[in-house]
Amino acid sequence: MNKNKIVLVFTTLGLWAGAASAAEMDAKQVTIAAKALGFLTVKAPAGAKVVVTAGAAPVAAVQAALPAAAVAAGDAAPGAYAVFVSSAAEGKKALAKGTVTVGNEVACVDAGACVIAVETTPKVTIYVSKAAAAAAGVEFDPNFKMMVTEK
Amino acid sequence: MKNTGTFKSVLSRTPSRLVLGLAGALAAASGAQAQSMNYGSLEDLFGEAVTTSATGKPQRASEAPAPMTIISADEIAHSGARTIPDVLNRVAGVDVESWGVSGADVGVDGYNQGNNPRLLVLVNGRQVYLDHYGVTIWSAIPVQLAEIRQIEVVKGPQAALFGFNAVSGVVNIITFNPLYDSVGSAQVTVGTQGQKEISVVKSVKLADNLGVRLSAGGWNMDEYGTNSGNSIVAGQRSNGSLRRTASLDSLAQISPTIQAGFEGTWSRADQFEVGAIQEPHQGIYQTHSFKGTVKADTDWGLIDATAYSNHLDFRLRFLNAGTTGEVGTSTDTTVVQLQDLLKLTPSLTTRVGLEYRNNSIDSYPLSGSTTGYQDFGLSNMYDWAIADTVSLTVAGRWDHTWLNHGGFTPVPFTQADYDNRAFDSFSYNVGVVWRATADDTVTVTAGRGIQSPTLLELNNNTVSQPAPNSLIITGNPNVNPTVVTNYELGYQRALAFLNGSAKVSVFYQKTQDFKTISLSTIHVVAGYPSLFVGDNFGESTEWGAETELRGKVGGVRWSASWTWLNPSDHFTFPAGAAPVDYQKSTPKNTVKGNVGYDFGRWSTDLFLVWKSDYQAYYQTMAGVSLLSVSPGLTAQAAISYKVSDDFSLTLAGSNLLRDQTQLSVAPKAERRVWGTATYQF
Repeated sequence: MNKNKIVLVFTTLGLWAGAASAAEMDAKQVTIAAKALGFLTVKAPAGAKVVVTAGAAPVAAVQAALPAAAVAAGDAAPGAYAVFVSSAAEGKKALAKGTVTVGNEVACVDAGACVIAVETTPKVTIYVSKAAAAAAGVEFDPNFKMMVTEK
Repeated sequence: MKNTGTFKSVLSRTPSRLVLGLAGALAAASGAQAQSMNYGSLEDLFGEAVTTSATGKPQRASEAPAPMTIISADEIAHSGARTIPDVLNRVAGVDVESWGVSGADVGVDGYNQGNNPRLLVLVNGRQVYLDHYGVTIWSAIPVQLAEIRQIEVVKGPQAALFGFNAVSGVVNIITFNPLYDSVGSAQVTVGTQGQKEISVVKSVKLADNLGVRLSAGGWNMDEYGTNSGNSIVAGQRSNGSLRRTASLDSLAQISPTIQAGFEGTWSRADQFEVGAIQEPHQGIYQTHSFKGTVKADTDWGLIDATAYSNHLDFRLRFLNAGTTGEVGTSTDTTVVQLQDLLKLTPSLTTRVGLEYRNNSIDSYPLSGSTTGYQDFGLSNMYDWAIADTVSLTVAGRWDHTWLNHGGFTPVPFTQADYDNRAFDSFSYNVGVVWRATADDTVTVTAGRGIQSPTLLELNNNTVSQPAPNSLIITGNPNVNPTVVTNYELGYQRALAFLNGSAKVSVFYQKTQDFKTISLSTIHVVAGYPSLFVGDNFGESTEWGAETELRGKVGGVRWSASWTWLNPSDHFTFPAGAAPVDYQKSTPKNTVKGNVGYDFGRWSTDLFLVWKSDYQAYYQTMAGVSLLSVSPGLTAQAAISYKVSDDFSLTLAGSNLLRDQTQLSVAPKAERRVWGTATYQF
């Protein structure tokens, strides 16, 4: 394989990877993300509205992890406490409405569109976007911030 | 125990409580900003124990750049242990010398002795070792086992973070937080050898932003050797072992970004023990303390200001030429600490700390003179996540220490000998953690710690002019601090099939300017023959290795460890002139095993420890003797039955394999059995 073909293959793979949408969060990721939301310093009233966009996470899993919240599938809307999103584009739209965004992939945090994203394998790792948190107008517990990967 | 204010505990409760709890958790999120670390919630989030004892920064235990073991509240409860040394005895590399039923010294990585002064012991950051000789009287620590969230054991020097005394290791006892955790426990224990114990712990939420935790407890029981006819013990155990403690801990959320706390404690402990020259005596200790803390989350980082005062009254009763003698006095310690923990960049965290310390001891047997020292310390730590798999921690601390003496001229020294005596010391810690794979972690650490001269080693008791040529036993203003340097390589592998882990480590440690008391080394100072309570006598080096396996499969939890220690002394005192010989007194090999099985309402636990034979000095009526000790295999066991969700019964025992066990040079320990009823409310 010559150099040009190698470049072509990698470029194609890159395009394919970029085009692929990340998998939905699994129940464990949702549980960890819900626990991470507990370290926010913003006040969240009982019955807070939580929105799950298509492909972000199983709605039932989010409801199970946040039983006191009013969880619904749909698009980011004003007044929501948090939105589980499936892409950076969705995250940016939700952030514009001042909503905490939970991404189904770390790339969303890298893009500054999601406040948090979590990985559970090989071990629990929580990613936080400082820019997204500032855009959403939220702060995390200072000890929590020391233990997460800030972007 | 319940943890309030976050999602943690509610997820493990009943569905109805879960819903109510989550509603509360969501609503309370704004109020609980946790300038104080919420151990329970963070542990629940990350799925492992969390700590600040390695760097001062909140970290997962698996990422700490220091050799560390964390003992959880569950492990303490399962063990049936009745004292903190009993709990610590289960940790690989920790050696417990049991002198009596409650008198014990705990050594980390060797060098254990009577009144071991090499260990820093803290309760929520407040030192509870006693400054008169840097010794920890474990039963005088005003903490009930039921209020302990976790005990963190950090091995090797950690002085760059914690300051003086953290030379062989640090034991940091973390209690349940009065603002975040809800705990209520009442225990009554009755056992053989006259054992009677009571313990009560209760936290109360006085308001949404104010929590208080109260605890009290005590025991009475016979000392070891009660029925042995041992004349030394008989003369020193008139009160048996007695313990009384009480404490109040509180924390308030003053504003969304500021918390303030107050703690007050009191304790009394009478116990048979072995002292710094391996002499048996009865120690009677009474302590009280006050502590205030303010924590603030600011734009300049997490700022923590702490001030505390520790007071100690102690009396040591000993036999002298067949009659009972007694010495005793008081010490005061005041510590003010200020630290700022700041994340400079997403991958770089720093901690800057300032500390002021003022220690003093009153002269004895006649009051009228006071000796002490003041210290100013400045420390700085950097924790750098170089890559996802590699982190580097570098910490340094500089201390300036100066002595003081008030009262009569400190003969044979002069007032100027104290006024002009000052020294600077530097300690450091460096650690690299490399997570080679998801399962494999390699840790390389190096540390240099300072063991400050203790108050007894500096103290001068002169309150009137001594007769010419009379022998003076005195502290020494010129004694140097001991310096301990340690290098350690560790490897840990997670073993998924065992739901556990394997650890291997090897270390080399060097102790310079070793301090002790040589009873036959007489100095002539200003014409007076003088015996120094504190004097430097060369150095000692040690190689050590440790392996540990632990796991949990189904209801069976187990661990096994082996520790090998090989010290080599290079002391400058004549052979036998001081009751110190670590080459002989350190058990070369120690093997520990623990297995427990939980089924239904039952919980069982068996702990076995085997130590190789060793020899240690002991002062008897006939003088100093080097005695052989063969502890062999010893066993502790516990079985608990949960009568209801709130009430449980436990039957436990120690030294179960023989009627009499030689645990140390002190009188033999009898087999003991006790039963405990626990009510949680």
